[in-house]
Amino acid sequence: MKTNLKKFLALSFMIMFQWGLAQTSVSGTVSDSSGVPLPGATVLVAGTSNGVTTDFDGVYSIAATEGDVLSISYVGFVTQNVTIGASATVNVTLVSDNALEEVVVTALGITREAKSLGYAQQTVDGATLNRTKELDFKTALAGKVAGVQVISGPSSTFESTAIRLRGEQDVLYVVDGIEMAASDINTDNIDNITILKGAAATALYGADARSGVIVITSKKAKAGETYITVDHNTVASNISRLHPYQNEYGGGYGQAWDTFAYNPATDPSSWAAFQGQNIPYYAADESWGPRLDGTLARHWDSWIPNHPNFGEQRGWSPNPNNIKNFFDTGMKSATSVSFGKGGEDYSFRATGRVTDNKLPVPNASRNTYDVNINMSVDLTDKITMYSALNARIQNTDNFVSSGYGSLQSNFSQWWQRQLDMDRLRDNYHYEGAFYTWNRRSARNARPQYWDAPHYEQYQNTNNNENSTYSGNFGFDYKIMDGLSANVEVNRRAYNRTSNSRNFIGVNSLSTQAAYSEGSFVSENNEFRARLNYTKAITDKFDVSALVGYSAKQYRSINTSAGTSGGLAIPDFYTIANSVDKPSYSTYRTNNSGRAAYSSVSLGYDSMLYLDGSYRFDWSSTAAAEQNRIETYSITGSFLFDKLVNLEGVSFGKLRASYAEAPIFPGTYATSPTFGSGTAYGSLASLAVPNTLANPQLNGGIRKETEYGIEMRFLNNRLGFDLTYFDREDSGLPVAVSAAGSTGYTGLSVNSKITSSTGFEVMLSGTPIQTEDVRWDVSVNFATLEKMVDFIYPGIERNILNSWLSWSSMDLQEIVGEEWGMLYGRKRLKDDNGNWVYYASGNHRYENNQLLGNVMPNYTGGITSNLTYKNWDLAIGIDFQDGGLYHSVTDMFSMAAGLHEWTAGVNDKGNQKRDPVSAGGGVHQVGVYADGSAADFYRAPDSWAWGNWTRDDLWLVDASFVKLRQVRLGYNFDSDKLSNSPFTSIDIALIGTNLAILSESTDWGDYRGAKNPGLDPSELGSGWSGGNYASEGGQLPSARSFGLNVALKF
Amino acid sequence: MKTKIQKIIGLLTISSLLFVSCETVDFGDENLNPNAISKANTGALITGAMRNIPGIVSNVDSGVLYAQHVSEITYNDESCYETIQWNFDGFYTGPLMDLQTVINLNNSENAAEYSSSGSVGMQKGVAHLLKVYMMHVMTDRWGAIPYSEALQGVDNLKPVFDDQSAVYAGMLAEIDAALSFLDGGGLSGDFMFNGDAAKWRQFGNTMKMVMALRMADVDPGTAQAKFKEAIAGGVLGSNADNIHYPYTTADDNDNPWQDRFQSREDYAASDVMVDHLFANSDPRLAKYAAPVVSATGDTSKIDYVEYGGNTYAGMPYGVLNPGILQTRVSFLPSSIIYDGTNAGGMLYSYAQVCFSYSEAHLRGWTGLPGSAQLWYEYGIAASHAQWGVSTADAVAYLGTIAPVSMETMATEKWVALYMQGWEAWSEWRRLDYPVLAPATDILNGTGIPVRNGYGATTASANKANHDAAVAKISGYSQDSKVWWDTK
Repeated sequence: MKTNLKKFLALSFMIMFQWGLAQTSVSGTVSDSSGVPLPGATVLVAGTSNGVTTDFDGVYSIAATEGDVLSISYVGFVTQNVTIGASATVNVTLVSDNALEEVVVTALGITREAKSLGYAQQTVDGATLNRTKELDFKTALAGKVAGVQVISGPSSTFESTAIRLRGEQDVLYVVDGIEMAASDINTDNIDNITILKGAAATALYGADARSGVIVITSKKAKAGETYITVDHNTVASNISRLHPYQNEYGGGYGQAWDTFAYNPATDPSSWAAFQGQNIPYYAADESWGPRLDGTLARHWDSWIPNHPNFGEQRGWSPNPNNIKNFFDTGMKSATSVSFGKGGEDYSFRATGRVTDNKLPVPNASRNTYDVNINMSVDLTDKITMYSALNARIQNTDNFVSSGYGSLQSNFSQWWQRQLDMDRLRDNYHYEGAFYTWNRRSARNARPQYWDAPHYEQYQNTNNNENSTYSGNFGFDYKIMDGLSANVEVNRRAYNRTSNSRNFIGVNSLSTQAAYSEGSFVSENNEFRARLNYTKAITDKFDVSALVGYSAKQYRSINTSAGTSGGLAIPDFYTIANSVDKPSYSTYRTNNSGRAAYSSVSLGYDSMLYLDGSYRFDWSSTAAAEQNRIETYSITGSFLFDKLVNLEGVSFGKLRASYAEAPIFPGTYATSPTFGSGTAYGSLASLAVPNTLANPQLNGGIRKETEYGIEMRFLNNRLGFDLTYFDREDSGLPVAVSAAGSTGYTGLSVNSKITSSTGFEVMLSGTPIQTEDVRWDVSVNFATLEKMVDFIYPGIERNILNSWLSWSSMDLQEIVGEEWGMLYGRKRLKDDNGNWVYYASGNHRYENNQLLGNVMPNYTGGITSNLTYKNWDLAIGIDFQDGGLYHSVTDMFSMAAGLHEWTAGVNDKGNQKRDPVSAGGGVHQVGVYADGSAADFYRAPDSWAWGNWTRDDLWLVDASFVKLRQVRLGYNFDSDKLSNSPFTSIDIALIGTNLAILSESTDWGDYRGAKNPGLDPSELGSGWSGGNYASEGGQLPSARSFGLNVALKF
Repeated sequence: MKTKIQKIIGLLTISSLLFVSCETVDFGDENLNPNAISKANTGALITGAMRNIPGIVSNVDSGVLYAQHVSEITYNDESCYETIQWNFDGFYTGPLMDLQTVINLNNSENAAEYSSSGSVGMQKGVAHLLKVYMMHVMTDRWGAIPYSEALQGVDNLKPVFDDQSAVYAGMLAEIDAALSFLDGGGLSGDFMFNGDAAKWRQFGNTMKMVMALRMADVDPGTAQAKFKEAIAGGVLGSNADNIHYPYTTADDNDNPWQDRFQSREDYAASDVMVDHLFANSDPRLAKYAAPVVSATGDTSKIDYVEYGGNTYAGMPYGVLNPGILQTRVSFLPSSIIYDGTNAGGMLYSYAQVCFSYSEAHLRGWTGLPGSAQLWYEYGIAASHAQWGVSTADAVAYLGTIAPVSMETMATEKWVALYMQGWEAWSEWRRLDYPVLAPATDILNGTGIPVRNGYGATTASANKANHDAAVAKISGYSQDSKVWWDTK
């Protein structure tokens, strides 16, 4: 860039000018490790009062002579001492001081020295977060934060990832002071994030922030910077894991062939030749059919009229890769262009990003456009104005969902294994009509259960367009030394429109076309004002305090409409084209809040810190006569290394905090109302809601105590941070399960008590640090135990999700037990551990049995970054131990004869699917109810259909160790680029979702070793809502590789 | 310097105090829910409650399968008694609570506020009758159920399970009270009888007649008395009085069977019913079952029969993995599964009334019109007429029937109750005819279930009362008989 060139010339000129002169002064540039000049850095000749500060370009000049020691310091960087040699030029690169003087963003965007904080927080810088260019912010967090459990959405879809922070999902995301949704966040625009984990850390945010806040600071142009950057990546993804399918038997209900019986009364005479040909059970969507031995048969497409394949007989042969062939290579590309310039009294940065994401699933794509602009200007010495504008516009074509009846439930639950996917793709639509493998019979092309998969993906389309606009406008006013004010307004506006079509054509499964559309509009507005005061009262004692006020408002309207009874004019997709009265519903939510808060921090000698905060919140959602709640926190920290000099210890801190955070009830939860149901003609219908509203509903309170110790050793090369928290939520306003016979399934009451405890550990170290090589590793690990202590007098169980499978499996919380228990049918064992069987050969079972817990025992991650000269290799691993979920996919893949376990040989060496009388079958050993021995063989289909409702058979252990992220990069030396327009070129190979390194491999009973099917690290929300307790028809995981190029001008 | 600090701290303190003194903030009516109304419209609550009746009369859960009228084609687990626990919460939280609310509001001092929906008497009377109708279905399925303490919200979080005898006594009293309320003062939202008190009386008395007969084996005295009271009050008098749920052409109010068959074909007429009709040359065969699409294949599994020039095949009942294609078995009548409007959905039929009279005579109850044989023949004729069998065919069939006995009457009633699943299953349990063989592949228990087990949610949410009820029926299973089922 031009200014760089200018600086270079100036510097050269200075060097030339000084060449040969007697050394009376030393000059140079002070910059940070990325080469950005540091204006205002202090350069001092050690032991004298002779000092200067660097100018706007980071340049200094100081009178000194050879042998003097220059001490160069700058806030946030390690002070460096340089002994002056012969050269009159001393350029200094300061290394940022992460360990000691690290300044972090805390609640309300207030920057604090990390060392002074009395509560757990963790900061992740944008570069670390964005090494592999994840588009989903939550996915990018995986493995990087102690106490955050990441539940990845299936990676071949757009399903979003969920996180639990200390076990709770309602985490607040705040970007530059604006409350946002995680899905709004442009991962390319993050400078750093701070995770505030406990109630003490978030107390200043009040009630909404009780479950943690992720504070995101956007990139901003620093003073003295001018740049343009272009960042592009292209990433290809392929399906990496599929369910373990058998490839020995094809579609059907039995191994015998049906044959074609020519009917001269109704069939064309030419069909007489078909007499006796083998006819598969097209209508079956299971694979208990004939052996795939190459026998000639009439495949589904041999009945398509006028088609070249008509009348053709082909071999009945395996197609092991048919499901894999359905998926393409997904292609994702993202291009960001940013420019920024920072001056003495202003800063401006703008970023635009275009993302194009085509899934491995055909005809599913998403485009995203981001624009992020921020600026600040010092209007006077005292007044700084700032503003930010963010826009995200996203268009999604054909979101593919999990769940029953979805694509993957077709492939993994109801399918014929012999099908050739390429033929399905090429022939499903022919001469204006549609054809599927699952035709009702040779003579009837209508599907029995399933349209062809490509029909689903290309004819029944859906679209979702959403946009988020957010921004703020405010000013900081330095009233006097130590006292400043801040006033800001901010707003986030979200708008989504979506629609979906259900097409019908010739030979469609459905006989009714349908169209639905919906829109959702919401806005958050906030006004806030704050006074800050800081003062060093004595040399050792300093105080800072603030008071603030905030007014918030939330509005939303959710509208949905759908046709009923079909479309009057075919293929005309609009609500007005509905045959019957269309359905229409709208739901509005309005709420407001006010808050006033204050906080005081006292520091003594950079060694002892004491903080207190108090906040009042008023909310429209609470009962009008008592709508104020009070949140407070008190925290303290003690830097004991200042007091006790321990060998090798470079930093040591003990911290403790306590906070109480009440909670407001949800909007409209206090007013009893009647809901509107489907009308009968022109007669409106009403219903009493299933949850009883409670006008007295209020409060609920969280109390959290937290202790921590943080130490660093060997000049900060090695460190750890250990946190223990103990949290109790009491009087929670929740809908507790009631006996339905009361007339209600739930009651809104202030009564539930839960308590959570956990440890969070972070280890970080730099095992290698030489001139050329640096290796940084950090490891985090967290435990969590969330107990249910009390629900309501007389209520011991709360159903969190009912009917998670076909047999009344529930997710429950039970007094005295850990939160998130799966209860359902469990196969019975006798006292000696033998399976107990019915006379039919089915497993005996008991209902309402504890199956396990959905919450993990521990979670964590490892982040490693190795640099060697210009090369860098970054690796991200995350892991989880424990956490169960139920798999409908596994259940039906067995029942439909798709699972590999249903084929192959039994312990006698015979084909399991041979008749039991001929030595086939699955070996079952145990006892009957009367205690007599049971030892028999069972046909696999009878085994599967007789036992499929035993929920304990289909539990998946979600433990895993995952190699999630790898980046191998090369950064060109800036001196090699001096003849180019670039100041930096960085090229990297990036990979995500690379491998599951370890997982549970044993079913724990006679099913034997578990062939990995579902990726244990991925679980969609489709089946059990936000509780992540069950899966059905989940799409497979995909592995991605790509190239990233970042250019800086 | 010091004064400045004091000033600033003072300023901070004062501004804090300003907020502290503010106990509440007035947000006006912002928390009034704009999406729902806070004042009930009792007529609309009755409409809402009535809209739940298809879930009973066009249900496919266990009744229509246990009675072996209908057979699943591919996924036969319910025919094989896979589900033994059934959750009744939906009845209580759905229609029953809506009806109880109508009753409560009309009993309150503010009853006048709801007069736009009709007279207090009509609102209460109809709400009570509909409530009893649903609870009757429930108690016949589950036996002991929460009745006397049910539907009281927070006032009683743990309703006890009343013994079925007590439920019956309570419901009979509730019917009598309801009948006395019906004052003809109009009722809005009533799409069944449009506020016609006479129709509701007929409904209430027919229901009372059915209930009275149901308890004939356990409490013959009360049964006979209540039966006669019902007749005196006026029960259904012809097929024109048959009480159907009025389905409409609109997709959101049409017959659930039609929706079930819109894309799938999961249910067929059972071989038990088809074979019975065929063996007796009963012309209802052509009305109860559709001809097969293709009478080929699977002959070892399927009995193809020829009747009236068409081939019929009942789907073999209760075979777990039948492997039979849809094209080879007889679907349910096309009038039910393809016509969404007014097919099926029978609450009470005249044929049912006729067979009830016949049975009363067989039990030796005196003072009733006609005779057992006469009412038996009336019942058969009514059923034939109801299903559109020609008079000539019906008369010919009547010429072939065996004389009336408990067995022949019960068998004919079982045929006549086709597609009235709960009623057919209850009557089979009580009368034990026709003799039905259990499913071929029993998944649970030892025979045809004679009761529905309580749902898992009930077991957890109302544990002590649930456990007490289960203890009384000496076990948890679907094999323990309900109170009126003595044989």
